[in-house]
Amino acid sequence: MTVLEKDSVLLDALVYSVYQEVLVPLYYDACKTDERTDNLYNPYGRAAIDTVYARDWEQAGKIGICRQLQQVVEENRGIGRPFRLRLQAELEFLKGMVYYAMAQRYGGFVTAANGEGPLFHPAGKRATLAETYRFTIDAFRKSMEHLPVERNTVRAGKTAAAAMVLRVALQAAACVPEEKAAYLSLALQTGKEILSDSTYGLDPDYAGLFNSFDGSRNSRETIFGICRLRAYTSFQQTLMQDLVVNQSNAKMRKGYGPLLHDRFDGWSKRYPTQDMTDAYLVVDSDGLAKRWYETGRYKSFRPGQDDALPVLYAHRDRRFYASIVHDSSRYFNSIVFTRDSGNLNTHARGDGNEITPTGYYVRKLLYETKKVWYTDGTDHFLPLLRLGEVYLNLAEASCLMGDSRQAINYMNKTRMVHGGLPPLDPTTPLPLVWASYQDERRVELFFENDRYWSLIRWALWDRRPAVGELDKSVDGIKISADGKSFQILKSVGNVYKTAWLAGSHFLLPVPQPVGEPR
Amino acid sequence: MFFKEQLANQSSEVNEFRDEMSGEPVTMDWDSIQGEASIAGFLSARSLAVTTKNVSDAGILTNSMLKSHIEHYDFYMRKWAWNRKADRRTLHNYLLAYKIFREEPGAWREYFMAAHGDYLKKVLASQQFGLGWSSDNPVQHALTLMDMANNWFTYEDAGLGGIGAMSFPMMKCLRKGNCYFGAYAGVYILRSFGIPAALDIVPYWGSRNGGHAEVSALDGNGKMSAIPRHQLSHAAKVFRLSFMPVNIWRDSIKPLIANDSFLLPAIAHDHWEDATADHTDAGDINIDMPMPLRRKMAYICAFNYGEWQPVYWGAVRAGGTVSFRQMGKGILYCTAWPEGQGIRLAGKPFVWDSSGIQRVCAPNMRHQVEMKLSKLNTGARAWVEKGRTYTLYRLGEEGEWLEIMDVHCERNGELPVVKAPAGGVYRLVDKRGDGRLERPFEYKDDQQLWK
Repeated sequence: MTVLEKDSVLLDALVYSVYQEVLVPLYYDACKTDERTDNLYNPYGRAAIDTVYARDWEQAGKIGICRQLQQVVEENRGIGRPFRLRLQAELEFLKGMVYYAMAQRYGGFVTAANGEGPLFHPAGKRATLAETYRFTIDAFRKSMEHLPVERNTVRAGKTAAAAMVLRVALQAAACVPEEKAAYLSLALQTGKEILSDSTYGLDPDYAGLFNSFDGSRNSRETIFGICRLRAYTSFQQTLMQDLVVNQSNAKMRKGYGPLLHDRFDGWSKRYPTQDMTDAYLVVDSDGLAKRWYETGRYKSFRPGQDDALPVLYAHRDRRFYASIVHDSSRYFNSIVFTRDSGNLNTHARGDGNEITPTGYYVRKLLYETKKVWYTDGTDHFLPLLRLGEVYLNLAEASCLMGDSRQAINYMNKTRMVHGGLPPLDPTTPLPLVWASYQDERRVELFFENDRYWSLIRWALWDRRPAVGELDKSVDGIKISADGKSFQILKSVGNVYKTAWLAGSHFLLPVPQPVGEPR
Repeated sequence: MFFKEQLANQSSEVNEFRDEMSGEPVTMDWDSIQGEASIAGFLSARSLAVTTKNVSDAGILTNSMLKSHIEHYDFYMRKWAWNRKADRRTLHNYLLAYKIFREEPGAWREYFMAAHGDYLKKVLASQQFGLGWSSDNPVQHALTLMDMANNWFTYEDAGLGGIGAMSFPMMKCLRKGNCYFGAYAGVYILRSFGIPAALDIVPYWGSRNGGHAEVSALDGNGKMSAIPRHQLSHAAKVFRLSFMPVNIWRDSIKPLIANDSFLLPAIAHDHWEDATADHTDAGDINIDMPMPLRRKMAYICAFNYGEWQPVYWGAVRAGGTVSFRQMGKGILYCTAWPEGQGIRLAGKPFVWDSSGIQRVCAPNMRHQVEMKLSKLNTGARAWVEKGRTYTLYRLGEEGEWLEIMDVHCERNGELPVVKAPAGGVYRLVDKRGDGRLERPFEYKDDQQLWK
């Protein structure tokens, strides 16, 4: 019992509790940003209920908690200097996470005039983009000084802070053009330092990296993640609840089937688009990676006579099977069919409620070992920083520095180890490398709160005035009941966009007038 | 000293496992069993048989186990101001106690302090460093801890068939079960945090079919109370399981039983106390029992799964009056005499209403009321279904169900308007069913009010 009376134990627990407070709303729930891109279709998105962006501005509480605890840690000198500095560094890291979330969304925050005072100071001034990114990177660099080197996927360590420096530097290079070279250089240098640590390695089991709690938390690839323990978490508080379909044999429309081995009680509302699934390449009979509609199998397909499934879904990038539920997939204990008259087809519910409009469901980040029931407890782990992203950030920075060979080298890592695809030819010209890289990032980081921010960054690199992928209609697929023909359903709906970015704005509007005008 | 006194009063249901072929005893390591769909399946697959024995706790608990409980208790008393408002009996009975009732003692305190330690440490730290992040009111913590208990296990409406008596190592292995399972987990979690907690049971709701179990805990005033959102509202009777013997069975009930069976098995022991009034509006029902039999006790019954079920007892006083203590209000009751293995209903059914009046079920036969009926009972899936025919009954004064009419359902969830004598108690019964699920109701303000 005495261990519970030690200041060091209690302070450690206090600091750990702040991880959830800061990270869950800003980085865990934010995986849903994929539905504001052409990756996912959410048919229930409505402007009237979209208050997320306004709430996101209110981050002073999170910073306040970190500062209050930093003060408490500072005053408890009995716990020893190294431990005290480590806790301070963790809190600095968490503050950095808040700063970056603000930088992504609003391009800045309000600081006191001297730059050291409280964030969101009522009499403060609005930081410029340059100041914002400098401030944010400084927070991570400062935290690195005293964060532990040892790998711990649920607490910030040196490598986690470094991975954030890399991530932020890449975004900063796009947002602050006058400092582009310096930020890209910082990104490359930091990324290489991370790669030099052999503690981490790409996980050949991409499905295990996301679709099981232990696999995710213990993977060599995971640098740091958000760990939600069953004691404090029910399914409805996780991303899983809104991924799983609501369908059962009792609810199935007459004439649809076959019967399911599960009763699905999820509240599915986000569905992968055809646009998204097209990005998972196929290894064709000539050994080359292609889009499914460029393969020999597709070209020789005879509608109405041949089975369409091998054309559509065979020999895909391995990440496709780990991330997407498609027609004839295993799903929990059932084989599910999204085709006409199939058990999970759009119209397969007897009450007329539609389920997947696109013909797909999300599998990534879903644990299929336990029935999803909203009030039941569950663990869940989201890898927030992992080596796969580090490689891709390095690939992007290399591309931007014009080093296509190095970029190919980096992106081939995830492409081959995770995707099981052949390597990209090292002589591929830079424009094609860039296009391949964008697809590689899209499939590698699907549903990880990446594409939304990457699209904005890429638009900034290209000096495009708008982000088309945030403001377009998306497609689905319709497969005949006999599985021998299919058609791409054009424009099943539009990308969810309301008060968030409307395609031509790169930052969210600040909910009320603050600081200096932008 | 407390444990020394209590050990003599305590015994546990302990499972013994044997190989069915050899008859040799088998030691179970429940912590090593993972991924089993059910314990019954696990035992069956390995040809293991289980028998349950009653063993004195004095032979189970070691000094180090008792010492651990005492150390935890000392810690809770030092750390949590709310415990200083409670009386010694409450603290010993519902916090220091190493078990709830009859289950084999287990290391639940150590387990939950570790498994849910983050929350405990956060609250301790908030207190230690004066952060003001957590409440001084145990009720706030009890609510959080009950959510954690709910997450710890998966609800499954199934009994323990074939696996003997539940123990904490088995609970850890299984982590799924019914409301009793969940309530045991809840009590353990609250006590391991340092909040006195008790398991409250409702063997029969009275106002709906079946029973339930819940957790009650120390409130901000130092009293054991229902936890908000966990009240057993509209229960006929609530019994709180007590670690220390209360001896109502030994002193008050047993002497009254003659040759008849006692039909309230949930309270046929000495470790319970009445907690009805902690959960729901309750009051004493005093009745002059009709048709006196030579019995020293009588039952009060409520309607459960299509029949009258004894829910409590009362001693017959001189002159034939019986007082049924602290009965939940808003429920349809009928008194009965014990008779052999069963009961004999005595007197007229009545609704014990919220103002404490016994309202006999005598409808006004001269006044008809139009009723829009939609459900058969309180459950979410009890709506009337298109294509089915239902019989509407009213309760007669002598307790008989009198048929009013048949009604055919032409639209899901809605019956055509029917007319019936006003002010009665009714039942709507599916003609194709077995008549067990349908519950009595009154009809007021265009609504079915379940009794």
